[in-house]
This record gives sequence, structure tokens and C-alpha cells, in this order.
Amino acid sequence: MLRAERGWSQAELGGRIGVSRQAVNAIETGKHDPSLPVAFRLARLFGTSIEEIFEDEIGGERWRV
Amino acid sequence: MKSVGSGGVSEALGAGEKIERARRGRKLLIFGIVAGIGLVAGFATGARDGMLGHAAWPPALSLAIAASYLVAVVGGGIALAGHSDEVERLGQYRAAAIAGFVYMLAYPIWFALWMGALAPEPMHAMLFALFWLAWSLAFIFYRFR
Repeated sequence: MLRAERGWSQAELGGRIGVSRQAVNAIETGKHDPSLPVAFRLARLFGTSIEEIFEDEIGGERWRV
Repeated sequence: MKSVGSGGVSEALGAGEKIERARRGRKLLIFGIVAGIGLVAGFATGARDGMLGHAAWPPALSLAIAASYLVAVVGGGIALAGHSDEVERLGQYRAAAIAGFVYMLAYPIWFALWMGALAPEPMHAMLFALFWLAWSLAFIFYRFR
């Protein structure tokens, strides 16, 4: 998990990408698909690509933030 | 998250957490102002009704109540939306849609029942309260599910 690797709380990550702690939790638990701007901010923050963070699978989506 | 600041002093909050806390504080402040306007308006009308019964309001009081409600709902809504993220906004849209749907169902059904002498005449205050109750319950559901 990219967030955990950095020792960040959900609030810490949320503040860095301009969303609430609840939003980070919703994204992490798969209850919310982030918008493109948020996905790009995540990718820039972690120094990677959107495809590296979000993995689209048949029958479900997984991601590793 | 604990981090060490530029002066070498241990800080309780990270940079992101400070931003998030400030955003939450601004939202609470806006919510407090809107709730304060509602409380003042409610007490002003409630106290008057308590002393004078349900007498007609003076025009100035009516205008003041209408204007304060307009400012609180429109101004507060815009201000809160500016400090909400996409998940919160989505929850607000869903809650508004569900509340509108509840109103769309409730009023015509109540009206039809009233016309058939099966229910008392529809009460606008109760329909308004029902709308806000549906909005609040839907918002809470999407917020904490």
C-alpha cells in the first residue's frame, strides 16, 4: 500500500491531494471511484502513473494506494 | 503522524493533516454560522408566537426571516460546496435527489388521499420537514455507510 509505505494517515494523504479523510477511506475501500483530477494528483504525489495505482479487473477494481 | 519540523521540534500533525484539519474547521465555522442564523430566526419567531399566539407576522419580520433563510441556504450551500470534496458533494447530490423523490411521492399521494376524504389536508410545513428529514437520513446513510 503506497500510503502505508510512507507512514501516512488517511487524513495526511487526504490533505495532500485536497480531499477529506473520509474520501480517502471511501477510495481505499472501493466505495468511491476517484475523479480523474484526484487520480492524477495521487499519481503525481506517489511519483507513478494512474495505471500503477489503479488496476482494472474484470468483475471488480483493485487499487494499491 | 509525527514529523520533525524545520526547527527540529516534533510536530504532532503532518502537513496534509494540518490542511485537512483547517478545511474541516472552515466547514464547521460555515455550518455554525448557518445554524446560528436558523437558531436566531427560530427563537425570534417562536418567542413571538409564544407571547402573542399565532398572530400574523409584521412585514419587516417576514422579510427578515425570508432574507435570512435565503442567505443561509444559498450562501451557506455555496460556501460549504467550496470546502467539500467530491465524495461529500456526491453524497449531497444523492441526498437531494432522494429527498426530491420523497417529496414527489408524498405530496400527490397525500393530496389524492385528502381528496377522497381519507386523510387530513396536506400540510406544507410537514411536507417541508419530510423533505429535510429524507435529505438528512440519506446524507447520513451515504456519509457513514
